Amino acid sequence: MLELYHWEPTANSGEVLILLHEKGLDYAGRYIDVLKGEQFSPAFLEVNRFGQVPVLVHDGHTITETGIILQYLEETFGEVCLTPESAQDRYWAEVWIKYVNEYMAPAAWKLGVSKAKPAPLPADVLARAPIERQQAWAKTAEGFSDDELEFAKGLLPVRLERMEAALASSDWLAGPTYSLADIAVYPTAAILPALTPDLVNAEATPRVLAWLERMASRPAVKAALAEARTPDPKAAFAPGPEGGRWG
Amino acid sequence: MLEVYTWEPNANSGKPLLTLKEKGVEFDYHFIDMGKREQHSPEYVAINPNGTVPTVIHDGFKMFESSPAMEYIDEVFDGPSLRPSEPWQRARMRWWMRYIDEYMNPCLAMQAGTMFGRRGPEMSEQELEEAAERVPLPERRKVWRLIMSRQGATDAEVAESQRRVGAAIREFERALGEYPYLAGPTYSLADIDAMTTLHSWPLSREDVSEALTPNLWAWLRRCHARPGIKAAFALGRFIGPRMGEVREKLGLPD
Repeated sequence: MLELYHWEPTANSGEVLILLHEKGLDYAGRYIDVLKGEQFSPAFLEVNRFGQVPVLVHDGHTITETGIILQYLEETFGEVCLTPESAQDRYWAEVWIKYVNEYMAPAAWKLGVSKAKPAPLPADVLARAPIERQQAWAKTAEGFSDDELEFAKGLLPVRLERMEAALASSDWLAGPTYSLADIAVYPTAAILPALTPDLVNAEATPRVLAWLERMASRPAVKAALAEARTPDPKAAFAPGPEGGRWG
Repeated sequence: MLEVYTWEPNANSGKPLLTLKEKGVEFDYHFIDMGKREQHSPEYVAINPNGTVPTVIHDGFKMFESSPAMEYIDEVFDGPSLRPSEPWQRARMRWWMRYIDEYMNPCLAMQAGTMFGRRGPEMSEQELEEAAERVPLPERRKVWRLIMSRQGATDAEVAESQRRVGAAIREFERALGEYPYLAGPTYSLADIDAMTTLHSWPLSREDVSEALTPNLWAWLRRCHARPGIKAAFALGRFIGPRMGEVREKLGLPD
């Protein structure tokens, strides 16, 4: 049996939900309300002591970290194959997963919580969280300075340029076919037109916008979005991975 | 044709070197001297526009990201497989590579960069600006400005980095109590990734020892006993000569 602990079908949880739907896999969804601090409940910390979603539990193995869950599902359930065919394109799929983890997702949540600040968690809930998570929530409550937001935003243009470059020769990010790379990047990229309209728009990134539309029209992406419990999951932001602590 | 442009067999620079030596693959090693900031030189940036090391070029295909390049090397070249076949072990391998690359190594880089910067050579405002301007990626340019201005990170940030490295040592100790290697029963890219950073800990860290961290110590001994590891560190101009001392501390024959 597959069990997935997840939040809204946005950002990290969205990636795994899309892949499960692409592969047509049955799973038991365990919704964790991140904005209520359910990821820091004693029961959830038993599942993942790092206090983060998504988490996949399969055959007695607990798999954490979004990109790694995607690769695990791909290697375990290969019938619907989303691995690029050439070794070069497989390298690029790994690189896209890394770009999301290290640059795009950390930038997006910092800009996101600055726009839609989550309510602070009760002190007793936060006290159970790992120190790094406590730091991220405290920083969110305190607010990011203009310099910090500018730095976060500055992580995006290089990666957006590379998306435009990749999409110039293909409809998809890592080689000629739809792959894990597209799934990894989509949920984070999908919130950028609203979050950073000066960076993602018809003039600056036409290919990214066309790719976002291609992605949004996929039945698996629609099915994943249908699992949302909030009216606008693309506007739901929570403190996420730190990213780029020291370049 | 396989070319590797990189610095010492250390941290990211070392990942392709250790992987290739473990597999016994021939390659051309182009030494990029980070001490002279050659990775930001116009000649090197023409090869790698990110201005980062390593660069791996296989038959014209360029790779700038070291951990994905390790997986590519393992997949494409002959030699012993360095990725477990069980998906859950591969997930464990990738979890460790990510933890090392994104959690622990940035903390060590912050500590080392700050120390280096604070005792580094005095530069004029203009020289500093010119050096920083040559750094292509904005996030790295910010860090270089901090280092070269002789400040580095704040004391509080450095202290937090030290705390995190302590947490990482406990994480290693826990995982290596479960299995002999980071991904599970077999040596993998995760161990190689870790070794590029941990290689000299027996000499440099008082909180790592046979008494305090027995699992980590035994793992360091197992890794340093590997011919591939020995061959890769022998490539190091600065690191290579120290390895005999590390092996001696671990009780290994030189």
